[in-house]
Amino acid sequence: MEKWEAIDITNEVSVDVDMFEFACCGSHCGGGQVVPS
Amino acid sequence: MKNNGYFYFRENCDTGVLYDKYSGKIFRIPKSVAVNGKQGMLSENDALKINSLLSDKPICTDISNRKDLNHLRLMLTNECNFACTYCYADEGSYGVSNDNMMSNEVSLDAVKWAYSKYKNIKQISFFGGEPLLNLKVIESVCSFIVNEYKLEKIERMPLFSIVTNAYFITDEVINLFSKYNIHPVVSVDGPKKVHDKQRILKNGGGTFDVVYHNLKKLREKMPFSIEATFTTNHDSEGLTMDDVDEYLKKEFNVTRMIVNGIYTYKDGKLSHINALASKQKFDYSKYFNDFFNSENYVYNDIIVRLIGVFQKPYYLESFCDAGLTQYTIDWDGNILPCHIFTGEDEKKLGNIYDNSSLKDIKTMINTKNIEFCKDCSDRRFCQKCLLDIENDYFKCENFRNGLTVFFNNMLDLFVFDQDRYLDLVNGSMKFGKE
Repeated sequence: MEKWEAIDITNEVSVDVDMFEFACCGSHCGGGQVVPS
Repeated sequence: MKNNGYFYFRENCDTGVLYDKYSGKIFRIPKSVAVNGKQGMLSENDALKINSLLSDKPICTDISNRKDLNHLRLMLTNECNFACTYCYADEGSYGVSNDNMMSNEVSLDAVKWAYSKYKNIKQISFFGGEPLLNLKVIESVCSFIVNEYKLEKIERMPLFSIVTNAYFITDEVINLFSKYNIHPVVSVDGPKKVHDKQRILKNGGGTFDVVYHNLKKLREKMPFSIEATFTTNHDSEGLTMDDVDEYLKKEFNVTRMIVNGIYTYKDGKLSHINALASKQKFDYSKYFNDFFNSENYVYNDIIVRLIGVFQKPYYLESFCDAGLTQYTIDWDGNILPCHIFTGEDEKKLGNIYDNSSLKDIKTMINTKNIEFCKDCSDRRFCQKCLLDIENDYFKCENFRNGLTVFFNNMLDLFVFDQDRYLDLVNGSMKFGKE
């Protein structure tokens, strides 16, 4: 059986992302959040 | 075998990638394992190893007990001078008598109520009906908050926004927007020939010329967002969603565009709405393919949110934050999860003048309670309107197909082109800001 390693590379690119918790829901609501929270 | 592992590889490279859709973790694995994983043909040992890398479930982020409120929406009136043919709110009235105006007193009490519950409010929006019909309340609320901020009674200024049909945007209004940094979100449905068919005055007259003139004037002073509604009228004129998007961006140089299909408000009750619903639907796969293949990324709300979720172990157990981190308050001080429920007594969570605690909305909107969704590995990326949950939750093939395009491109950039990946993420954070 082939042995293999998995390498966690999640932190190779470090980003601290601002984000919309919810995007516009399409009900002319003013786009939920106008800018990312 | 857990279902939250997503495998990716490039034909001409030796590297394989495993993405945990629950935790956002990314692993480098042998390409052969990724290939077999993609085909569902992992050996027993490889499957065990992959399983040991993957999370058991997404970690829930509880947003109901936050110190800050995301969004307070004030329903300034249910009067509107427009009679848009597709309006989900029955020409702005929400099906109740259309002479309701929020008073200064109620508006300030609404804001005080929110600040008594939350340390900060990130966004306060003015909504209706047509909110510019109640201009004095806008001034009153903004002025009150600025004053509170100066007195250091509140720590951070909220972002003010308004959703308007742009018909009453005068110099006085533009000055008010400038004075308080109010971000306008305006409704325009594309070229005149379509806009004037569906965004009409109560007497049936078209509104495009006035709106166009006002927006050109507004654009000289400030950026704004546009929401457009796509219907069979666009189909009849041979216009696609992309055409509308392109036309409005070019015409008004906006930073944020949303082109939506018809919003089906309670099937049956307002069935004429469905007669206007276009057969063209937003195609997620096409959008994501176009997005990643273009030299300059052209963001929209959907992709900005997904980019945010991609690398964060971020999971909300609800499809929407209505009633959790956003409230709508009407002219009588009633507190609703969302403006869409205006006029519906059974949906009220409480009233600002009633000291009893708010009705708990959590169980109603929790994805755990929906059989079809509770084990879906894509649920961290999914959102829906509360109104659609009963009717629409299993129609997600379009979105799920799009997600595979999104994952493939994100993982490819992450592993093989990290500079462009960073550009992509940094660009998403500037979206909507200028």
